[in-house]
Amino acid sequence: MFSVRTYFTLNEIALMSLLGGLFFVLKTALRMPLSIPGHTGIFLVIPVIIGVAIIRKPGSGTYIGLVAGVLLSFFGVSGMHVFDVFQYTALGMSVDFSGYFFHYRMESVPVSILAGIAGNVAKMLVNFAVDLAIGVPFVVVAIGAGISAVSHVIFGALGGLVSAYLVARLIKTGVIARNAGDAGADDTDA
Amino acid sequence: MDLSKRVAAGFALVVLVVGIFFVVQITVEEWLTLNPPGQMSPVVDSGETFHFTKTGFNYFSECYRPYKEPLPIAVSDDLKDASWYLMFVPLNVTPPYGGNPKLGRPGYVRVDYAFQNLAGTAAFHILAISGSSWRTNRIEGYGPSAVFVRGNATPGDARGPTTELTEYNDIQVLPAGGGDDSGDIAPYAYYIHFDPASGGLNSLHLTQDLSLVRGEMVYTDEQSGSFCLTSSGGNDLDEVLLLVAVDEVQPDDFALELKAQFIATDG
Repeated sequence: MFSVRTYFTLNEIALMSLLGGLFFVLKTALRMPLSIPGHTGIFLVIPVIIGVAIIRKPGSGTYIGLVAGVLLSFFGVSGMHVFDVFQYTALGMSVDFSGYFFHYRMESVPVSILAGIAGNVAKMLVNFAVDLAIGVPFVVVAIGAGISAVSHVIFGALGGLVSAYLVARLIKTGVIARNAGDAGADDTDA
Repeated sequence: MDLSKRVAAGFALVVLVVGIFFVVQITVEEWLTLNPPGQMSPVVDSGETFHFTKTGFNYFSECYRPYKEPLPIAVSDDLKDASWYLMFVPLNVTPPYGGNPKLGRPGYVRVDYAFQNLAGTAAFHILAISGSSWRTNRIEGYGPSAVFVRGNATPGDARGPTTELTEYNDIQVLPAGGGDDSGDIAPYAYYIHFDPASGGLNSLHLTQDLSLVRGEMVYTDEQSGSFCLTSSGGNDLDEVLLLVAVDEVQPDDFALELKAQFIATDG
């Protein structure tokens, strides 16, 4: 039977929880007066991508997103309150899927950019779904959907770019162990 | 599939998703061009209907209603010295966007009332909170507004359980039908605080004629009808309470039905 305790090691759980906390702190502390949809993606995807790059197991991004979502929901930081859980869990799941699909090569710039885009766009999609679910007219949601998608892609990509640099540095300094051309998940050194 | 192909597929998917959202946006923009908002029907919330009996009047007051200083419920010669039984009805209890009166958007709250066996006179007033500041309607001075309905039923002889209002500011009021058996009203109550240093009497109004910006004093014998709660300035309102007061003990077969509905306007 599946158990988080046996699937993730204690170190991994601790690391993911800390990264979820970092996600929450970043979201709370870095309040930029930019009225551009998805601009927070530039820093929100970073802890998730780094976590997925370090843990290298399906579910790690989801866990980080869930922790962040619960914290944000609990503290009521954004206007979506409890729906934050869905938004940020979706972000984590998307980065998770990207990591799995790209063999956790997050030090690669294109891979990390795609993971950042996937996470930020997933957050946007859940945001749209929540808006529709609570009764916002479809026209209101759809009127800016194209522009919003572009801005989410741009900021997610920028966050992914920064993440790629950070992951590469972590590998270079030995914080993350990598075997050349490795696609497995059994050499985590977190 | 090697990594480079996967990356290429990933970027293609991103382009596809963004393209789909642009198609949706352009389609909606075209639709709006053909159906300008000015020609659409105004947004009407589903509304909420309340039913009350005589036990709904859970407060008793000598003449006054909440404000930073005692504020009369009525000023006409026949009512100014009356004592009143009060109830507070929260009008914005439905979920956001789908529902009911929240004057956060431009618009007004339409209230449909229907009395059965009303004894004496019923008065309607509005109380609302914006941020931490409460406001209410004035019935004296410039721009008075309120609604008074006169009934002709025989008064009852036993009033329900009521709490006497001895203070009119910095008080907790329990909405009609609220609370539980524990007697602890705090989780269900509204804390009314009017800032002594500021106003609060000039922006909320009751009227049957929406062209009257500052509302009107309505005296009627109609046992059913409607009026509107309007706001003529200030910040958005977070909570809206309708104060219903009667100056007689109501008979056992008294009933009041209220339907409150937010109706959006252009601005």
